[in-house]
Amino acid sequence: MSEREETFLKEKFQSYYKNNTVNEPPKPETREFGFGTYGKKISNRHVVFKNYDELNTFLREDVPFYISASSAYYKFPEKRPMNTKELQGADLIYEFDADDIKTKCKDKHDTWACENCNLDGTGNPEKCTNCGERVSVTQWFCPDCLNETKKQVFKLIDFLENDFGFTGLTVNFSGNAGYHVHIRNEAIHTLSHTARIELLDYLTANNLNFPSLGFVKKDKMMLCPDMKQSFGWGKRISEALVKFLTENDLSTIAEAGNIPVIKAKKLIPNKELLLKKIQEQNVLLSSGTPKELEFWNALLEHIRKKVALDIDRQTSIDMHKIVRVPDTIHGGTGLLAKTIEREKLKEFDPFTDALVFSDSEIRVFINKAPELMFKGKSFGKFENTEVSLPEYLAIYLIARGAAELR
Amino acid sequence: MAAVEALKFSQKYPFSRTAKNVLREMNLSLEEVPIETIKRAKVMIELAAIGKEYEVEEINHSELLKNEILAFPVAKILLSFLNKSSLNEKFAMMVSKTTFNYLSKEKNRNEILLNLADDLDLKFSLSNDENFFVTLDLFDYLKINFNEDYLKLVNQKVKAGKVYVDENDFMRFISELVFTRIYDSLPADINNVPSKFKTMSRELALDVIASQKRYTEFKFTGKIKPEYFPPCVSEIYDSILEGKNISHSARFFLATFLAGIEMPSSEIIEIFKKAPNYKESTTKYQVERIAGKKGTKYTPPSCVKIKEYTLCNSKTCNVKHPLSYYKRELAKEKKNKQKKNEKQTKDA
Repeated sequence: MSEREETFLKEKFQSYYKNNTVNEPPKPETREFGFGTYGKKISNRHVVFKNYDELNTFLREDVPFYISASSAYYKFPEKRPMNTKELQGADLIYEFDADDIKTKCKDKHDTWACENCNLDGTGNPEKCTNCGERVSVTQWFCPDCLNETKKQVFKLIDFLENDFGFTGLTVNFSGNAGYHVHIRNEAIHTLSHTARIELLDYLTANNLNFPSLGFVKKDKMMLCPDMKQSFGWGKRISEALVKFLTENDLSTIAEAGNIPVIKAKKLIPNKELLLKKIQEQNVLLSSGTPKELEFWNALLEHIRKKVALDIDRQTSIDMHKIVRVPDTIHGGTGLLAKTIEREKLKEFDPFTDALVFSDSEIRVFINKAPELMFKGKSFGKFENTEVSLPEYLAIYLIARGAAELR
Repeated sequence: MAAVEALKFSQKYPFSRTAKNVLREMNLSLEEVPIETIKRAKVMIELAAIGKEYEVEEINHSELLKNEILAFPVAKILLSFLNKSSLNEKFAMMVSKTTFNYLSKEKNRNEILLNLADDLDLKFSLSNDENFFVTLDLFDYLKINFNEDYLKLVNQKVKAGKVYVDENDFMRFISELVFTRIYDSLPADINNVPSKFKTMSRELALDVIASQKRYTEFKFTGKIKPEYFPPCVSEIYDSILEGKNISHSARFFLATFLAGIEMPSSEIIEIFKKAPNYKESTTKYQVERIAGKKGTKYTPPSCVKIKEYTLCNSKTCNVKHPLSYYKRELAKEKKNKQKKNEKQTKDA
């Protein structure tokens, strides 16, 4: 991107910050801030703002492309190295990104190019389909992949509220391809590093031990937890198991349990009877042969993976990380990292609700972009085209480096 | 609690508030601590250092009981002068294990458990559900170190911010909590402690060293032998050689391990070249930093850390550090070779 585009974006971001005030994150005076310029999310760290006024003045005058704040509260947030800051506590922040979730729509909008044989194509393969060498992938995001990401957010909220009893949850769009869930309250702040790992292991079902949850072998039977009385992971696994057995045919069940269909037919001659046994007598299997045990263990493991959340370990337990400040602009998209009210989360569409720029048309030259859905309207796809687009979309493409001003 | 009962309780659970109250009532200055108590405190630390447990004698005489109770804070003072976190950990571990042993032998265990829970300021209530003993506040439950899989939160019954535990798990939880509380309380503030304790701690340090095996630093030399890598390293090493994309933490671990066994940086970089997103300048910079070319060398993470990052893939290694595994396997090979040589010499 040339200087002209960079100046253009900066002016646009500035006009937004001049007309809007950011009141995030809570207790700004105790946080470490970091900001970035075009193409570099964090170019400066250890920055401090005494209050929201200072923060907003900085946004209006310096207009950073990115601004992040620590999840931690420090006594001396400006000091470095890190240990001299004196950690006082930290919020919990979980991040979900469409990058990490495999969705079918990626085949439609992502593109790749092989650095070795120059072959290119659509989709998101790990290796070149021709020569097997590494490929560079250009990722795009659509309402479908962001909805899949949102499903993870809802799953997380269920765990946090119903199992952990946490209060003080806020959700915001990341400004690009995901969602951030912040949990801020006094009790959370004091959680140790070990405690944070424990919560993460719970959410991701890491080191889950089936016998501890009531899936125990007794005589020739394998018992499962009583669905009416159990809770925590015991209940989650039992319910998901019943749902999986009910909704799928024997071939899918066999595949999940890692056995041939013929064997599955022998093990489950009558699915209805089995479901009844699970729900009423808390019994999974009754013959107790090693093969049968192996099948159930494989099936339970399959269910565990299905129900567990997929959360990045390192970022969620790092108490010193800095994360985008909610309600600020993501400089790589021009979208707002908007705080979303809980009742509006289900309907939230970032390509409608996180737009902050106008509909007035701007002429741009687009190198390459797939079909995009903004405000419910389809645009593109584009390849080496000059076109007039609404300002919000033009800014999105310029910020991504896919278009330039004409 | 009646007076003698309180003393007996405090003897077994010297970290409790009841024990602290007993000591407060004794109103003893540190100058007046009897020599028997100091000896007892030293024994406690020496036993902890070699991983043994201490036995509480059945005493009915209240003065003797008080001396026993006093030995615990005296031991903490001596540990604070020594200020060695590994020894603090062993001491906390010993008290935790002893607590568990006493709890499991208590006749009226329910009552003692509830007393201790109160004493440790836990938020709990007796469970209405007959399958459980108490419900604990989630934030209290999260205060222990989760060394055992079955105690992990994921394997507990959790609902609406409460953890439902049965009597056995509650007993284990209390013992684990004792470990955390004692470990976190060390070193204690020793500013106003008489200097004779400092002198005593110096003597103690020598005794402790004498009773522990002397640690000699092991230098890795000779050819690198991937067949002796621990399973966690092998998996990452094989993946990278197969050109698979591996996580940042796995890369860091592999690089620190290879640097730890003295593999030259140039060879480590060669291995990382196989990664699908290899960048020469970044890899070179990072590997050289890890190998200590620009300052301190990074040591590989311990097994505890490796588990945290879910890179551990074996439960049968029987080591606490991946380098120890490699060291052990090399030593085995050396021993086998020696035996073979001896046999050959004999045969010849």
